[in-house]
Amino acid sequence: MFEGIGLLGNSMLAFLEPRALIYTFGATLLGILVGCMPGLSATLAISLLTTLTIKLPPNDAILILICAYVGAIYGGSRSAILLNIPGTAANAAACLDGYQLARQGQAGRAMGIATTGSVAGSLFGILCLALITPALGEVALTFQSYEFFWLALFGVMMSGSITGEDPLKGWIMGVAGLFVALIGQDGIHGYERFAYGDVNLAGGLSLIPVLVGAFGFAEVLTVMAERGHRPKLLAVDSILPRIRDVIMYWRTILRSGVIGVYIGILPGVGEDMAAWSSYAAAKRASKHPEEFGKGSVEGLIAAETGDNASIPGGIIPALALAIPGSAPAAVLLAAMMIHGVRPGPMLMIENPSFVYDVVAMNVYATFAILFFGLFLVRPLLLVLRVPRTVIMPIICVLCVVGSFSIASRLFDVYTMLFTGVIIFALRRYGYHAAPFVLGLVLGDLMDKSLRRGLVISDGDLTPFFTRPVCAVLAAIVALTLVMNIPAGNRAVRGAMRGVMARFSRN
Amino acid sequence: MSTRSQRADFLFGLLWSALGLLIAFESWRMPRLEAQHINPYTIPGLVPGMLGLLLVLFGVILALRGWRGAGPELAVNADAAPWRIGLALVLCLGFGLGVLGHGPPFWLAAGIFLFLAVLLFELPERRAAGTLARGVVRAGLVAVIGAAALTFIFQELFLVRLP
Repeated sequence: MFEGIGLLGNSMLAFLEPRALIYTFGATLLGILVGCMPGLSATLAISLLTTLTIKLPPNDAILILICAYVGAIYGGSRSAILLNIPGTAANAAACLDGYQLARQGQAGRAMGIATTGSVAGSLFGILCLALITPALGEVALTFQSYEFFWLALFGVMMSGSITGEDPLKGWIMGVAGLFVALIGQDGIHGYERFAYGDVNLAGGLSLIPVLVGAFGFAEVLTVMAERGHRPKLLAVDSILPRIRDVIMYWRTILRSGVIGVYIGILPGVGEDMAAWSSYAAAKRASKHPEEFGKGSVEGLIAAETGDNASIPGGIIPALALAIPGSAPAAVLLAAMMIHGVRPGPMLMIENPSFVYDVVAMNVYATFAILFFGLFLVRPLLLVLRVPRTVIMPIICVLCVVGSFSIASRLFDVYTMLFTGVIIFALRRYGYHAAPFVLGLVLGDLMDKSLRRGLVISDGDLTPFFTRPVCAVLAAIVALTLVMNIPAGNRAVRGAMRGVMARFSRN
Repeated sequence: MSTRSQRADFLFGLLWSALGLLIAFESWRMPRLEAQHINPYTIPGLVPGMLGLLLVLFGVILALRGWRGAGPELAVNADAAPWRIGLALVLCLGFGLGVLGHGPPFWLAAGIFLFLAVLLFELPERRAAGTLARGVVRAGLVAVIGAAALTFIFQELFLVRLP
């Protein structure tokens, strides 16, 4: 406990130097600008910045990525409030009440509330990050290959179930991601799978070009394919958050923080789900549910607290288990690996200060969004005037040159373009990229864990189902599968009704 | 099977099943490395083979669902025009696959791409508003400043040897 406080103090002090502060404020500002622009997501910001920061020292690079992540999720509330267009998917819930407040001439107040909610949510999430990560890491030390196999499968299945409206398509994307991760030399015998003699494929597909393609290039194509809308800016009143709002809705803030962190921890479930769940819970518990959707301060606070709390929430399993809680956290995990950090249960033993470095990075990013939220609202709104016909081609060039810069090979550019076009086409038919990316990140872990587990048990499948954590995860995976297939759902509900009827007769 | 999404589900279901079968077949063909006396539970084709079969299962369910006319309806994006999709693909792929690394230096390829992309995507609105000349100037400015800035940042600051 005290050792943790000491490590956190050291980490906080380590980032109190000019270079780190410049990175913090610069990256947060960049994140806010990206978040403000409808069509550009937090994942895109982190993917592109990973390519740009590859030559920086690990802590500087990861500081920049975390600040951009926090900034982008916060920045998305700007366009949600002013244009009724969420800057990122996470801010869709903020549109409902934020835009209504803006229409009532309270755009500044709405932005102040969004800032309050985002800062409160971030701080609550950071507290959980500092407390839960070491504890979860300690529990995970008892995990063996069996548990890691189920965790990887659980992550992909959960992500597939919750992202989008069609679980079946989510699972297909997850399985496709797991498969793509297996292309190239396998991690146990070095056999080249699905390479067909191609030197580039034998090395496997690099993670970052695939991520840039899935989230960057696919989004560029999606936005370029749509007609551009010129935003109309509204007049902005006072942006200072009122203390009364914070005190009045402390229960909503706390509840949304808990929901945000919980959803963040669930593998592959992102900030958008956290915002919607917090919003729905606030509406259920509110004394004035009829005001939700018509400019409710409570609704806006709930949505913004929930999505920002889920950022540190998503980093918790990424650090403790090497299983990302959301798509941006998956990119962050990949960036950590590229920079030589090995997230997972051994992190607290091999590099305990890193967890507290990440906590400190999140704290500084939160201070930065508070600063920009209070003092730079009006200049930041200017970015909404830049037409997407100018921004998108520049982002496209960045995707190309960013993919090339990792290893200076054109094969990575082709990988990025191919992935982008495929994901763009699939998105038009209801397939989402998040489960694919989670599968891509977890594919190697699942492959090695299953084969190692089978070797340890000498081919016996029993430990995969009888160890306590495995049994729970296997049951959830099986139930998720069955409940999302109509015939299975009917069978389970029928069986449940039968059991309940029998109990009620007795 | 009547609506667009149900037809798409049916066809995609068949496509995923075929892909899954191909993956499973290729995994089956992978060597078992008996000569190296490896543990049979660690053969390289085990996990991809299982994933292939899983993909077949999901593909069949999707195809059956599409055939029966069930499943959620797709949201149609009315804002996406076919000519914009085609133009975006031609320009982006032309730049990334066709031009970059095949002769012209990066700054020139990026400049041409930026000029054409900005100009062509704004063309209908510019024509309607009668501001075509202003559009050409703006596209030219974006191309020159954008290409110069990106080349400088990557070549001089990040020390990347651009193609």
